[in-house]
Amino acid sequence: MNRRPDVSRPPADLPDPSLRVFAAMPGVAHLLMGRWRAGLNLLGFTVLLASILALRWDAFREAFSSSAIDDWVATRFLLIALLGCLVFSIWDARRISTPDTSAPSDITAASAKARSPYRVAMRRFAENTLAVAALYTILLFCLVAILAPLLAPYDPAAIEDPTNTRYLAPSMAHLFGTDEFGRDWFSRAVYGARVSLSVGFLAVIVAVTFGTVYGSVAGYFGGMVDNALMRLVDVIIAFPTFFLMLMLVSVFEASLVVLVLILGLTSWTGTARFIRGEILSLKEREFIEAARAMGLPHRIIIFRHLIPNAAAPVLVSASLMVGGMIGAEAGLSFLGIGIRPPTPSWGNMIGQGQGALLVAWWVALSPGLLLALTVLSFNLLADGIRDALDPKTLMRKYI
Amino acid sequence: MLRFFAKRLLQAIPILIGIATITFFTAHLAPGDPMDMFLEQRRGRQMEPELKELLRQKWGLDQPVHVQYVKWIGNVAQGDLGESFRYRRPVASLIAERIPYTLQLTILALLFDAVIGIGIGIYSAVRQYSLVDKGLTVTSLIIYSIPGFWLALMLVMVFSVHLGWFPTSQSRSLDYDTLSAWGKIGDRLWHLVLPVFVLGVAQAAGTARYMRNRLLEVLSEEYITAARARGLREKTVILKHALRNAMIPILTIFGMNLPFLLGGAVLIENVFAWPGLGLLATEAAGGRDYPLLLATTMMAAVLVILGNLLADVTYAAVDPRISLEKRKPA
Amino acid sequence: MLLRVENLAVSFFLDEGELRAVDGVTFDIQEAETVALVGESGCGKTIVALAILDLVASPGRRVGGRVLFRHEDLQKVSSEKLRKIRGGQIGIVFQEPGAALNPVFPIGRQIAEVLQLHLGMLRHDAEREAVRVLGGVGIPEPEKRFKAYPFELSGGMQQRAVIAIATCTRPALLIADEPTTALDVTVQGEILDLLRDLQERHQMAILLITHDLGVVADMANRILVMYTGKLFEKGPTARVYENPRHPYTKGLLSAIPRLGLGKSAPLTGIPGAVPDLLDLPSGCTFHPRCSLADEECTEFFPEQRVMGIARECACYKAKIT
Repeated sequence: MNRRPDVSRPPADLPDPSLRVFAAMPGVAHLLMGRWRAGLNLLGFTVLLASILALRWDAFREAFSSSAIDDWVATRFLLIALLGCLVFSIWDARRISTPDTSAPSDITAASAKARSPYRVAMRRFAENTLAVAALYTILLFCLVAILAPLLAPYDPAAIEDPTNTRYLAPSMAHLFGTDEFGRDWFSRAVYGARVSLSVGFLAVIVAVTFGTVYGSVAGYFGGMVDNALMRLVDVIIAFPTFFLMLMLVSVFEASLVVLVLILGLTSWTGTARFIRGEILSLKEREFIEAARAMGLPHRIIIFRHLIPNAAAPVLVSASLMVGGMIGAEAGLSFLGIGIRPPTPSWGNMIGQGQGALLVAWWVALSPGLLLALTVLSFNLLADGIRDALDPKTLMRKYI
Repeated sequence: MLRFFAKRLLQAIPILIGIATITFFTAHLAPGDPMDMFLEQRRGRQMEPELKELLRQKWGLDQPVHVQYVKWIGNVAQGDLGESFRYRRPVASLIAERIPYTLQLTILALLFDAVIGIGIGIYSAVRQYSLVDKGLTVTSLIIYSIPGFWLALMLVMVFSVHLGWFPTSQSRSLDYDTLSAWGKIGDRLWHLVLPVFVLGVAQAAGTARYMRNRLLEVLSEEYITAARARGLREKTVILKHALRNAMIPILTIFGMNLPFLLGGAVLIENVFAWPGLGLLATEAAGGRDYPLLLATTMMAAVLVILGNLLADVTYAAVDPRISLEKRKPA
Repeated sequence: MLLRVENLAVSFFLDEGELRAVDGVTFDIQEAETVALVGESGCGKTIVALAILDLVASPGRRVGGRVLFRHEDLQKVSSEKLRKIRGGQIGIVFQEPGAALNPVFPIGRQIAEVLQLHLGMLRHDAEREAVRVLGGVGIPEPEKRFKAYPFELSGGMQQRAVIAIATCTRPALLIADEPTTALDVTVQGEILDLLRDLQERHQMAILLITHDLGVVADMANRILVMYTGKLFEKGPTARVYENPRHPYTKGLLSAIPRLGLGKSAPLTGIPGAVPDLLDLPSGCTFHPRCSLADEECTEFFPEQRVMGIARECACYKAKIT
């Protein structure tokens, strides 16, 4: 049955003033006031960060004074995130417990707010357990990627005495085992997350930006420009993307930046087509004509309407694309022409596992599982966003 | 129908030219001189400048880019794709050798995709919201997300290494030449089981998802209610009236998925050392064998275009609204 | 008695709650007569048609009442027998002929399919008969049209094809759900003539569902007036027209231009709009729009009362005059 939105939750109060001491702990105040979701999130995140700090204190101290940029980023991020949790928790708890004086009982305003498309979408997304789990998984992997120097128990590139440490099966000392050079596979997987996620996100940013600009130009100018630009899209679509990537990666020396550009610049056609279609249909609409008649520059109106209309589908396809990009990077690295060792990437780790398949199954297993989990999470997230925004819209056409 | 086919064929020509153009300029955008790359390929062998100049002339590299481009397009149009640095053989003949392998792999994978994907899609749609439907939906999303090359490795580990049911790689057994004609076919199929499964299963997962949604959409159409109101059996309603309508866009989806299928084949061919176009392209990419690399990429694109052409023609054959465009309404 | 619908109730189970689309509808149809079911769009007429054949699709479900066809409860017969009745004994014509025909099969095949199924004809005979049937519904050059796909026909021809499919088995009852609404005005009359002609030839009963009272006057022996899923008034057409009992019926009739009976006219004779089925007014669902309504009307829905020979009306304020 229908669950009417809980539009105007009354300001909550801490049940007992003596509990205020505990309430300083991020999330506890929220829990005491019955805000379970926010409380558990805040508390969980804080505990996670704090336990990393406590358990890896030595690594933290060493990294804190190190001059390497990853170490600097990881340690400062950890501290700022902890502090942020604390400050946000206190601020938010206070906001909840003080009655909203500006609009004491304006239920209609509150309910209008709760029924805004954005709120409705948020609520629908929150009810989708799988999508929420996927989002948490992605956030966790991002955290792992940022904090890699603190989390990796060993130096990912260190080749120790291989006669003793080569091909060790997973154990407490080496969670994912070791490879033929005796490198700790867990540490490499942690660093591999950095490569996979950053390549995935950056390549999608490149693709979406380029596709949006390209599609906007084609759609806005129309006519010959549109025709010429779209013919090029037709040609690019005919290429099996992976072959194209293979060719480009081989022609240009594949550094991380080049790889991101290649992945991004071979995957923008969907976005471009979508944005073009949106602009063309907006141009047909009456209010654009009207604005034009009144002498308003219609490009402003077009883009003002384009953004809210196109943002959601682009977000969904971007989420799907991140998964695809991570897969493509892994594939290229697997073939030995993407990210090359010693830089660890899940793809080249699986590639190494292929050679070791007969003697050490774990070498190929763990990076593949992580890769599959990441791609699955992005796909689930995309599904979740799509269902939350609108169960059946034009998006199906393009995605 | 013939007209439709001819029209489609004509439309493909500018795309083919575009493909050749992009490949050509990619090679010329590359940092460094193709000549030096060739020499790099010959690893460390010093070459006298005169000889270098001679080779340059032989390959037309001394001419301006646009002249080279026109020449290249002309050559490609005549089927002359140049000579492989590495194999020292015409690229065209190398590709001709490998294409049948890729076709065997992809066509079987496509068949697997169609049969399994459509079958599961129908089953899920008919049993919408049942436990089986939900299970299949989640499973297909998981399979869809697993990188094929890794799945291939895992399957090789289990079924080939540990259980010994299938060969780990290659396209034929050692005693292939001694086998009878049927034995040869059997041997080939036996080698194809795992690669086809890996390549097909991910596609089938996508197809099943699409088929389920599409069939549900069709089942809510009024002509389905009308068909039921005519007293038709539920089986007839679904398998004849609904399926025919739901199948039509699936053909386009198959066409659209071809690039991904061929892209996936590159990785799968590598895992199984399957001597197809993808393996050739990877070897070329790894060895910087430019003529071969450009030609394989171009061939893959041509295969996609041919596949799409086939999909379009089939589409027109099953959808009266397209093949009869020209007929006047009564 | 050919068909009897008793206390039929159909609900749709939506996220927002249960939507009662048809509520306590009772009526019957005799052999070879025409009964019109009249009401504004969205009042549940089509759902009645679908519910008779047990074709209401999820999230809708029949929640009460029964449908008797030749004294047999259609909910109790075997599914095999129900299938024989659908299309064999009861044919149905939908509002949108373009949507009711399967777009990927030639219309001739769609007729032949029904003939093969219900009359056990062989494919060849069925196809020959289909050509004859196409000619019988006034489609010119039936041999040629046999192979035509729905999109190749005009709306009027499509509707003739739909009627051909529905009547090729000589059903005892034809349910015609707004058969002319989607068509050009010039074609509407032709389709109604065709229905009358077929009725005479095959001696079949027609349940004519329409919002167009002009159509009803020409065709129907009896009339059923429906509003928000409930029947408001029943009676012989001529007498209901002369002397409507229910204020709603009066409103509907006042909207018809008296001069050209038979022309369709927008129903503007009643103030206000049809209420949201999820949020129906209390008591008589018509009371907010009714000029006669008072306190009494807001409490309970009025029972059907017999008012004159073969006439019933559900209104506290209706009087026998």
